[in-house]
Amino acid sequence: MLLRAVIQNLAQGVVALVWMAGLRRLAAALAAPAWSDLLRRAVLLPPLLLAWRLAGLPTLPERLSVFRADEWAVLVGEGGVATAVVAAALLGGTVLLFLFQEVVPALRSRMRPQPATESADDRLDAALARVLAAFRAAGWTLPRGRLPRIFRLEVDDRVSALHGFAENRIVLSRGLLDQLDDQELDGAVAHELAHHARGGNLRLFGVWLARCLQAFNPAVLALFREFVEAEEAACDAVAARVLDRPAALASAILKAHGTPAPAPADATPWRRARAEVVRRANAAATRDRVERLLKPSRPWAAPPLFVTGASLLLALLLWSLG
Amino acid sequence: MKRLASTLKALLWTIVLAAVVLAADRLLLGPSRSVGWVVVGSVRALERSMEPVLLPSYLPEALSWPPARVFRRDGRRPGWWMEIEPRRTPGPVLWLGIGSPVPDAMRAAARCLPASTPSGCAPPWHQLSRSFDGRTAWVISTLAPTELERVLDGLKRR
Repeated sequence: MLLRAVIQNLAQGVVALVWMAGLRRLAAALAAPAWSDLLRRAVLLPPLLLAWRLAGLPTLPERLSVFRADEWAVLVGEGGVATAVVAAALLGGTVLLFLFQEVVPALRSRMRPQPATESADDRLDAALARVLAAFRAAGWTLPRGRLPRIFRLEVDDRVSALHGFAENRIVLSRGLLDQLDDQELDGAVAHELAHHARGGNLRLFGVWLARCLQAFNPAVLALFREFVEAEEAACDAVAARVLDRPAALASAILKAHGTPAPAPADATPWRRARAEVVRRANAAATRDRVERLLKPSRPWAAPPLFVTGASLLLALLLWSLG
Repeated sequence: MKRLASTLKALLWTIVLAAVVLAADRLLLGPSRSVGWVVVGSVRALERSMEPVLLPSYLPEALSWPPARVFRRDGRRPGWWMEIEPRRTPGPVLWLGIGSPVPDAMRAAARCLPASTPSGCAPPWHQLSRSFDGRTAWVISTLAPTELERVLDGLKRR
């Protein structure tokens, strides 16, 4: 049963990844928020379909299934030691990536002895008021409940983030605040408010939980990472649209992420190499975000029927995999 | 018009991808479970065509011998199954064999194989298995578990 579930999940992850890649080529003009929504569903659907099956809800008979997970489970189960070793290496390696690249850094940041203090800041309050007014003027409905508050984080690093689950807080570090003019600041605040408007950390956490359940699946790893980038692009698109100043937001992104701090001089070669890899990856991601903002060729609003229809097609495709 | 074209492209792409996965599955795994199993006339005929065949040295009084039906599958995933019926109906039924996916004729008993369904062996069915020469032999029955264990212990190669 477990082996069958793992094989079905692997198949669904790979097919979802290939389907998304194909759709990207065919419907390249789709807006960033729509891509993010589709990727989120691609991560959520496999565990939901497993729950569907476990609940005894209708599934295709084995002989009609596009992918016969039962028979593949039997084949792998009878595969002997070599198959077991290859499978363990593939799945175990992906779990290790998940642990060391996601869980351990998250735990470390939680276990910091003294978190930086957060203070109120008149300039930030004024920026939030301007951005909220712009959201309302653009007809954007913010989630019900308390509006996020905004604080200055007393650190020299350049940080801009949305904190909290039930009550969201926008935090901008002193180091970043000192670098930004008012238009850039509005852009940064609008980006974080867009995260809040799109469900905030609670929704991201839900997707991450689904990703945890599939920690062994390399295809879901790729889908989740693509989703995280797409979500940033979606919030950039929302912020640029609401403020109608994409260049200011691009400038704020460059100031926040453009020149990451190098590894300390006394760092070990391994740490220096790791810092360099991270620096290059971040630089590439920043360049993509800035280019997207400065070449706004994509339509703002994704056709809702297309996104709903595409999501249904994906759900049907993954359901047909057994 | 452009949106309609995008929607049609997405639909077409989904169908193409499903067809590719279907083709790969059928090409790599072969035909579905319902294909490949053939009914053999007797245990002796099965023994002539396939080795090793396991036969029970113990059967409860309630079951009759020889088996009512014997199935054989050749090819890449060979296997055999035999259905041992009760002497008097209603009474217990026993399926004994090697190889899965199993013949469609096994119906309710097939649910007892671990990879078949999430719900597993439904009462009154029980299953036990043991490895013989690297392959798993199964006994699936409505017999009491203690009786089923005696049947499994008594399996011998012929």
